[in-house]
Order: sequence, then structure tokens, then C-alpha cells
Amino acid sequence: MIRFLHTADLHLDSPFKGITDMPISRLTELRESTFAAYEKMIQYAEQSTPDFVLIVGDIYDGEDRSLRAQMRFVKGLERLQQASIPVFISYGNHDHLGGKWTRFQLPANVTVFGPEVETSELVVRGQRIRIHGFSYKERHIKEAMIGHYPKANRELGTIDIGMLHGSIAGEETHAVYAPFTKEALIEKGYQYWALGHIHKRQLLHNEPPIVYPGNLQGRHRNEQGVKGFYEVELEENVASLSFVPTSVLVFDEIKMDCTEMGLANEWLTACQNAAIEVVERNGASILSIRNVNIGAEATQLFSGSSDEEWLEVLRDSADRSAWFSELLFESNQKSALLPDSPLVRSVKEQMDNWDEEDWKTVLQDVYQHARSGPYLSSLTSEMKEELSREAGKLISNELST
Amino acid sequence: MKIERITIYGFGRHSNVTIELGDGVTVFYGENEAGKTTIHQFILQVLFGFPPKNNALLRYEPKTGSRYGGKIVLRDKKYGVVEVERIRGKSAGDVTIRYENGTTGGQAELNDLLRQYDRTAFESVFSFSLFQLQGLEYMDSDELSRTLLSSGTTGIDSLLQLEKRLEKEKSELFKKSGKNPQMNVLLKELRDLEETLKTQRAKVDEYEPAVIRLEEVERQLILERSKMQNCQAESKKLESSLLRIPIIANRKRLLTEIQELGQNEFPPNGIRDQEMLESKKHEAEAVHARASFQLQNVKDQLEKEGQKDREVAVEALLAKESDWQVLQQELVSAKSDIVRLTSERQRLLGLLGASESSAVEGLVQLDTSFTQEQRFQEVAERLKQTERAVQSTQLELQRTEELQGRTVQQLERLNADAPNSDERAQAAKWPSVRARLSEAKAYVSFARKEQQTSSKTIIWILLAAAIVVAGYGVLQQQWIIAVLGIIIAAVSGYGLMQKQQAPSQSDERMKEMSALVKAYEGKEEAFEELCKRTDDFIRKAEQLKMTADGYAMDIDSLRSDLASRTQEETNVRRQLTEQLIECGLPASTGIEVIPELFRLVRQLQETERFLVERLNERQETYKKIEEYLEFARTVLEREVPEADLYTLIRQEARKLRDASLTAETYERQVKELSRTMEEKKLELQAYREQEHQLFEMAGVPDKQSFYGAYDRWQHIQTLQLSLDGLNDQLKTLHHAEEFGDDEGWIQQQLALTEEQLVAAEQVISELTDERAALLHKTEVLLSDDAHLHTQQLYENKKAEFNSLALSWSSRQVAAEAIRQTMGDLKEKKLPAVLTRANMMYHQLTAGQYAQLEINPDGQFQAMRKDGQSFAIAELSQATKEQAYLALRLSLASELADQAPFPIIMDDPFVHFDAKRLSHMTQLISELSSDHQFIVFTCHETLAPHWPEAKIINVSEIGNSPEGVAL
Repeated sequence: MIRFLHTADLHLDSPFKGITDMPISRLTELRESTFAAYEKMIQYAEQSTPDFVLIVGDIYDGEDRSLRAQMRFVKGLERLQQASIPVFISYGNHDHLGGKWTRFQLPANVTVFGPEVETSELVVRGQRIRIHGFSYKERHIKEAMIGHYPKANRELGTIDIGMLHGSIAGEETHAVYAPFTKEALIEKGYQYWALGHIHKRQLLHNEPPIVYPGNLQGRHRNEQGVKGFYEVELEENVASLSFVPTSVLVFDEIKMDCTEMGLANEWLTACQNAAIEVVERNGASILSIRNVNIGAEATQLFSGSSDEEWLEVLRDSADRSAWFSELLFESNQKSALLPDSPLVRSVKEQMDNWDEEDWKTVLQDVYQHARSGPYLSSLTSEMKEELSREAGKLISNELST
Repeated sequence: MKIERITIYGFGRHSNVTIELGDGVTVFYGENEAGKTTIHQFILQVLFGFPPKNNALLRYEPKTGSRYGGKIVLRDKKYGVVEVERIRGKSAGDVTIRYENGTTGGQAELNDLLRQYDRTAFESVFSFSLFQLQGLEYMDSDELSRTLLSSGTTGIDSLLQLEKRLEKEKSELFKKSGKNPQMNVLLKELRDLEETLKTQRAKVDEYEPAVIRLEEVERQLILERSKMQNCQAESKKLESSLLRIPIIANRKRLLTEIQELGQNEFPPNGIRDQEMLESKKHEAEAVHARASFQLQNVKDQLEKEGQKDREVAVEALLAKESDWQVLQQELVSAKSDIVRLTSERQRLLGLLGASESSAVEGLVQLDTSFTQEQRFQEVAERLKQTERAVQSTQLELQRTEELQGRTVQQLERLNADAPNSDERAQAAKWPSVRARLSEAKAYVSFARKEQQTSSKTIIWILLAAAIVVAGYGVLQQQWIIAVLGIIIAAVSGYGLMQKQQAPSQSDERMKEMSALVKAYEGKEEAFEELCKRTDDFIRKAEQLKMTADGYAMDIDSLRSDLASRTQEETNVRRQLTEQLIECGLPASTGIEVIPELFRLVRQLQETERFLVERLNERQETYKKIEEYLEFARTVLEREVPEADLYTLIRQEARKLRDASLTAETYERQVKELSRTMEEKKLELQAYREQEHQLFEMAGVPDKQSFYGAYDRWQHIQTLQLSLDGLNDQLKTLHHAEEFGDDEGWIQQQLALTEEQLVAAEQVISELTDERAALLHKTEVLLSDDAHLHTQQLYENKKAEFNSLALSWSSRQVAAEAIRQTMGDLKEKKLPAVLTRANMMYHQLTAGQYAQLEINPDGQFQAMRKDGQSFAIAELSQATKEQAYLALRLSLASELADQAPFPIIMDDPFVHFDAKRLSHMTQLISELSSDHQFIVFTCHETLAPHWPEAKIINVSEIGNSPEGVAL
């Protein structure tokens, strides 16, 4: 039986994105959270002394990697060396080998995979363990590196583990790096596939386990939930995985049913209670509130102040362990009290009729602007919907009062 | 959509009215006040809600108290037959919709049914009155657009305002080439931050070179340090070799000096030894000198002490001390004997009463033989006898005289107790008295029996009565009675008198007898005693007298005896005295002391003899002592007192003994001293030899030069020490030997090394500084948070920018949509409406006017068929209204698909002439296939123009008494 830790996508010291109005001091505090999570993992390793540790890429955040991050990372590794725990690292797209950044000397217990698929061997209690992996030699690896991985030789008492930083071919949500298919992985006959790159924790396959451990610490609202790494025990072909949480800060969304909401206090208290519940469950959290089932009363209530004001009030009444990042309103159009007038409808119909080009034309002043364009995320259909919704709201609000 | 039926529960003047409407045109006819407008309002309010209570519009609440509201049954292409009921409830009333299939709905469904049209929008297109037609001259294309959009004035204005506001907000958010809008500001900030990030990143990039340089610097430092150390060692050596040069010179000089001094040898510790010897020599000499002096002294002393002969003589004297003591004792005892004997002799002489020397002589010569003594004894015996006789006689006499005296005394005492003469006389009388007394006693006892004391009382009573009577009489002056009283008193007084006198007379004798008895009463025994005593006295006195007489006779005889005996005694005594005197003994000597006398005399004589012996002995002793003293004097060679002789002798002897002891000591000393002197002499000899040896060792003849040599040697030693020091120094500097002693060359080398050293130090210092700077830099870089802050800030700003962009975009989208809507209107819908309106206008004016157009100012104008254009205001009233109607109707037709509502008109054709009216009705009839028309009019002339229309006389409807059917 062997036991090891599998982690990936540390993104140490990366800035928190998409948070607009949190005080910078508090943000700096947040910033420590990636380190704190890493620290938790190191501590866990020191205490549980696994046979080895796998780190499957994206330790830093690309060009923005700070010296501090590297120093802390190396210090953590040194502690593992003190505890005689070997570490295997394959670099990913964010910390590829081609980067021109300063590199710190890594302690002797660390094995770093090269740009080609390599196999590193070690023997644990008589068991020969072969770990296969590679590091990104540049930022973009579009090649399906899986083809270069050797097949398991299936010798008795040998364990094969694959380390791969990449995503499933055809997956749209992430930029595709080193694409692979589940079948291709299984075909290799390894006992365990340690994947990285996708920040959401997921088990692609059970036997053998093909695992994205997710990142150690969520960094924006799209990385919701408790984050951590996997502790894996392998006995022949039987693997048991246990998830070890490390995140010191959890991004989460609260669905707030507003059917009964008529008073500001009710809503505030409900939000705080929900937040307290989340904090008790997950620790310090950054929360977005999604208000659903907004009835007539609630509509009236919310229209009393701007969203920003509501958010501000909510933040004021929250304690430090919870930060409210945004408010979302999912209004129930059917039950809206005030119908759109024919005028409003005809205006809205205009938007509905726009095609991609129309949208581009409409928004070109900002989105196609040489200066501002680069700072903006590209126009997605969700965004368009959102924009139509917002614009409709603006018009409705104006014309129905 | 068509209204089929309206049912009024209660609204204004109408209540409980149901009106069926026609399919095409329905005309409500009625005179003023008939309730046309009420029905018009009823339709509008049921569909769009009762107006709020304080609104300008009337609510038409029924005054009759019947139920407020009513219902309208519609037929719609999309929804089928629908019943809309509105009754009193909240402000706008409670609305209920019932569909054909039985489902119901509320406001939301009604809104759907009404295609989201509100009353304003509805009225602006589908409901108009003459008054509204008259406003046509002010109408422009915008107005038409508004109408076309069925939004009324406010709706389109709001939209346009919104657009403007959105534009403004947008421009506050972002301007393409602006600086102040939020997004522009943010953009600037973002660019700045990017710039900062770039420099900060560049700074971070400095880390690696810095670290590499740091290592390089470390290496160089080590190199330079070792170089510096080498230089230091070299320069040290050179300095040493420089030091060597003077040392070598010095050494040379010292060696020469030592050579010159030449004192190679000197006994070790020579000076000390010499000085020791010197002092020892002096000491020995001093001891020698002292010893010889002492010797002389002692010898002198010894000569003085030479008295051996005297010592022997004195010793002999001392040996004879006991003899001397014996002599002394003898003398003392002789002396004391003499004293004792002399005193004895004196005492004896005293005893013997020989005070004079003659008497002494006599006594000494006295014959003391026993015969002599015998003789005296006999005489003395005789004397004794006589004396005894005298004495016994005297005693007898004395005793007798005593007895006589005692008797006399007894007699005298008796006489003293003797009864006096009275007693004696009484005693003598007593026998006679006694006889008389007994007689008297007998008499008295007899007489006492007769004597009574009676009747005396009666007399006293009588007397008292008499006095009372007499008193009474006196008081009453009844003299007779007084007299009688006196008489009686006198009688009784007399009686009394008699009574008292009688006994004294008769008892004279008795009285006497009683006195006698009384006098002797109790004394009888005393008298008896007295008698007896008197008798005794007399008898005793006689007896004593006789005894006294006997004694007197005895005394006389005894006195005579005594005289004779005394005579005899005296004789004897004289004889003895004579004999004593004869013997030279004191005459007064008693006879009893004679033997004693003799013994004393004998003793005296013996004492005398002893005394003489002793005196002789003493004399002899004196002589011996004198001789002794003489001898002592010669021996002691001085006058010696007898008493202290031996003390002196002993003193002398002691002295002599001491002297001889001293002499012995002296002799010993002499021997000692001689020996000492001898020893010292030898020592001195040895010292001198040693000293000589020392001198020899130093190679000098005498002490003086010895010291000189020492000084030289000493100097050499010092020099040698310095030399050793120099040698040592040279030894420590041996490593510099290689450089030899060329000072110039060494200096040169030194300077060179120094230069190298300074250079190396310089380099090290620079390197150290650089290293510190690098360390600091790397440290700072490692702990630099600025980059992180900037990064975070950048992300924040980016997020903020995105959110603003979103905000901008939404506004942009809204504004653009509004713009496009308006554009659409102007470019597509408006021309369509105009075309249709032109056709209608043409028809209504019977071809007089060709079309309606919009001048560049947006104002409407009509073009006559001859091509002449007129502003609306220039048209006739009817033409104006026709133009307006044409526009309205074309609008309604245009909207028929979106809003298929009935068209409600309120007396719009009053100004029309019959021709035009018929054109109008003609047009409406044409249109009524697509639209329901509801026309309200007070002109009964209108109805005949619509033969197919349903005519409803408002006055006739319901229970109105004034209702009139047309």
C-alpha cells in the first residue's frame, strides 16, 4: 500500500479577480489565502508523512509570479525535505519551462519533469512506483501529449501513476491544453491519473481514478465551494481517495427566496443568517446573493434603493468572516406588476432582433476601442442576455413609473 | 376585437342597463345630458380601470346607490369571447375576466387582452373627439410618431428623455476621446498600473541577476580576502626585516663593548660572599675584643674575692651556735628563777610580816625545829579551849535574853488586845443585865396582847361629819347647825383625844421594858462573847508575867559565868603572845597558823638558799657569754650586739658563701673566655683566607679593586642581557631572514605591498558594499509587497472597469434600441401610415387634396390636387378635421394587427357637409369590416348615413324615463 498527496493549480499569490469594491487591505489579506492553503497542505504532509507528493502544474500565476510566492513555495518544499517526503512536479501552462522568470533552487527531494514525457521511479516499501509526466515547455501546448505516455508494463508490484496537466478534448469552458480523452487515459493501464489545470474538483473516472483535485484555494466567484487536495491510498488496483480541504476562504452563492420578503430587515436578516450558515460550514466566505422568486412586494422593496446601496447595507451588517461580493436578481417576469407598454415592447423588440454584428456595432465604442478593449472580457451570449436585461430594466423603470 | 355587449350595474346616471352593440358601426345618439359621455367613459373605465379618486377624470360613481361598475363582452380574434367585469374594489376597481372555456383571469390577463395598452395609449389612437381633431394644426411628425407608437405624449417623451439621459450617463461613463468620464479615468489608471506593473515586474526580474551577481561578489570577496591576507603576511615579513636591521647593529655594538670591558670572570655571588665574609670577620673581631676585656674584668674580680680563713672561722662560729643558745637559755632560766625566787621570798616575807631586814635576818635564822613547834602547839590548844568556853557561855546568854524578849513581846501584844474599860465594865455588868432582860422580855410579850386600836375610826367619822355640818351651817348662816357641828366636832375631838392619851399613861413601865429589850436586842450573844474574852485575857496575862520573871534570873547567872571565862582566856592569850614575840614571830598570829608559820619559815629559808645558788650560776653564765662575744668580735672584726650576734654571723656566713660562689663563676668565665678568644682567632684566620680566595677569583688584589671588577662584570651582564634580548628578537624575526638587511630595497617592497593591500581593501570594501546592497535588494524584492498590491489593484480596477463597461453597455444598448425604434418609425412605419392617410384623405376630400406630406420642419401640410401645398392652419376647418381623421384612421389600420381595438369617436363630423359626410361614412363603412366603430353623436342627422349601423338612442336605454328610441 502506498499513500500520496495529489494537488494542482496552487496559483500561489495570484491576485483575486473580479472583486471590485472590497477594501484593498482586505484584499491583501485574501491574497494570503493561497499561501495559507498551501501551508495547510504542507502541514498536513508533515503530519501524515505520505510516501510522496504530486504537484500537477500551475503552482504560480504565470508572469505575475512573485518572488515571495516562489520563496514560500520553496520553503514549503524544504519542509517536506526535512520530513523526507519526495515531491514530483510537472509544470503547467501558467508556470511553463519557457518562462523568463527567476527560478529558485529547489531542494533535493523534488523531482521536476522535463518538457518531454518522462518516467521517474521510486521504491516505497518494496513497491516500485513509476510516475510519468511532463512539464509545459511553453505556455500553449495544443498537442495531445497523452500519446507520448508509455503504457503500464503491468509488472507485479509495480504501480504506474500519470501526471497530466491538461483538459479533455472538446471541453469548451477552459482553454484547451494538452487535450486528452478519458479512454486514452484508461488505455494506458495506470493505477492513478493525477490531473491538473481544471480548478473544479472532479473525478472523471473511478477505476482507475482519474482525478482533478481542483485548486487549493478558490480565487474568484466562478471557483466556488471548498477547495483542497486529495490524499490517495493505492493498494494494487484499489484506490481510496480522501479529500482534504485547505481553502481558508470559500466563494459561494446563496439563493435567497424572496417570495415572502416585504421588509428590508427581513431580507437582511435572512441574508446574514444564510451567510452565517455558510461560514459555519465552510469558514470565511465570499458570497454572492442570488435573489429568486421576487414577488410584487419584493420588487417594490428592491426598487426602493439601488443595488449598490443594498449591497452596501448588507456588507455593513456582515461580520468579517463573510464578504458579500454581489447581488443578483432573478425577477419573475410573469408576476411583474407593471406590464411593458407597447412602446417599451417595441424598443425591446429592437434588441431582440440584433445579430452578432449589430451587437458589435452597438458596443463598438467601448468593446472595439483600442484602449479599453483589451481590459474587457469578450462578449458572450450570456453577457448579451444580461445586457438586454439590464437595458430593458432601464427602459421599463423609466417608462412604467 | 369587437365589443358585443355592455352591461352597466351602476355608472353615472345609468344603472342595470344592458346594451347590445353592432358588429360594424354602432351609433349612440342622444341629446345633451342623455348620458352619451357616460357610456363612453364606462367603456374606457371598465377596460382601463376607474380613475383615482382625486383625478381630473370623473369616476361616475352612481348616485342612486346601485352597484358601481359593470361588464363588457368582447370578441377577440386571439382570445375569443371574453367578458371583462369591473366592480368597486381597490382604487381602479376589481377586474375579472372570463373566457369562453370558463377560465378566469385578473389584471395581468386583461393587460394581455389589451395588448399592454393603457388608457392613454388607447385614447391617443382609438378614441377621439372633435376637440382633439381641432389640434391638428399643431401636429407634426413627432406627434404622429407618438401617436403611431400609441404612447401618448408622455411615453414618447419619456423615452426620448431616457435616451438623452442614457446618452448623458454613457458620456459620464465613457467618451471615446475623453479624460474625465469614469471609464476613461479608469482606463488611464489601468494603463498607469500596467506601467507600474511592468516596472515592478522588471524589478522582480532584477532578482535573478542580483542573486547571480551576489554569488560572483562572494567569490570575488573570498579571492580578494586571500589576496589581502597574503599582502598582510608579506608586509609583516618586510616590517620584521626592517626591524632586524637596527637590532643587528645594536648587537654588534654590544659585543664590542663586552670585549672592551674584558671582565670575563667574577665569582658568582662574589660581592655577597665578600660582604658576608667581611661582616663575619667584623663579628669575630668584636667577639674577641669583648672576650679579652671581660677576661680582665673577671680576673680583677676574682682577686678581690679571697676570704677563705674568715669563712672557716665564721663557719666554726656557726657550728657552735647551739652552745650559744644553751648559754643564753641558762642565763634566761637563771634570771627567771631569781625573779621567781625573789618574789617567793618576798611573798613569804610578806606572809611572815617581816618587812624589815632585821626581821628578815631573824626569820632566816629562826629555829624551826619540831619541838619548838610543839610548844607553840600546846599553848595554842589551851587558848582554843578557853575561847570555846567563853563562846558557849555567850551563846547561852544570848539565847536566854532572846526568850525573855519574846515573852515580853507576847505580853505587850496581849495588852494591846486587851478589852477596854467599858467593855470590861459591861462585862462586869452583864450578869445583872441579863436577869433584867429576861424579865423585860416576858413583860413585853404579855403587854402586846392587850393593846387594841378600835373606835378610833368612828370618832374620826364623827369629827368629819361635825366639820361638814359646821361648815354647812356657816355657809347657810344657820348658826344653829354650825353650832351643832362645832359641838359634835368638839365631842369627837375630845373622844379622839381621849383615845390617844389613854395608852401612854398606862404603859409607862411597858415602855421602859421595851426600851431595855430593844437596847439589847440581838446583842445578847455579843455580850456573852465579851465576857468570855475578858476572862481569857486576864488569865493569859498572868501566865506571861511569870515566864518573864524566870528568864530574868537565868540571865544574871549566865553573865557572871561569862566574865570568869573571859578572864581565863585572856591569860592564855597573853602567854602565847609572849612566846611568839620571843620567837620573833608576829604577835598577832593566831594559834591556828602556827604550824603554817613554821612551814612558811621553812619555805623561806629554802628559797633563800635557792636564790643564792641561782645568783651564782648567773654570774658564771655572764662570764661565759662575755668570752663568747669576745671571740665573735674578733672573728667578725667588728662590734657585735649580743642580741643579733647570730643574725650577723649568718649574714656574714652567707656573704662569704656567695663571694666564694662568685669567685667560682669567675673562674669558669675566665676559662670560657679564654676558649672563645682562641676560637675567634682561628675563625678570623679562616675568613681572611676565604677573602683572599675571592679576590684571587676576581683577579684582584684587594677589596677596592674587587668592587671595581664587580661593577665591570655587572655591566657586562647587562650588556649580555640586552644582547640576549636582541638575539631573541632576531630569532622571532627569523622568517624575515630571507630579505637580508638592505633597508632601501625592503622599504620599496613594503610600499609595494602596502599599495596592493590598500587596493585589495578597496576592492573588498566595494564588494562588501555591493554585497550588502545586493542582499538588501534581494531581501526587499523577496519581501516586496508593492507588486502584489499593484497587481491586486490592477485586477480590482479591471473588474471595476468591466462592471462600468457593463453599465455603459446596458445604457448604450437601451439608447440604441430607442434610437432604432424611433428611426424605424420615421423611416418605415411613418411613410406607410402617410401613404394610407393620403389615400383616405384623397377619398374624404373627394380628390380635392392629393396627399398629406411632411415638410422639412417636420410640419404637416396638405397638397392640393393641383400641386399647391397648404399648411394645416391654412385649411378649412372641415378639411383640417378630415386630414386628421385620415391620419388617425390610417394609424388604426396600421396598428390593426398589433392592436385590433374598436374605434370610438365622439361627434367628429359636425363640421362636415353632407357630401363629405357621406364620403366619411362611406370610408368608415369600408373600414368597419376590420374595425368596430362606436360613434357618439347628438345630431340625429347622422344616423341615416349608416343604414347598416346599429342606432342606439341613449335616452331610451335602461329605465330612463326620458329614453327615446330613434
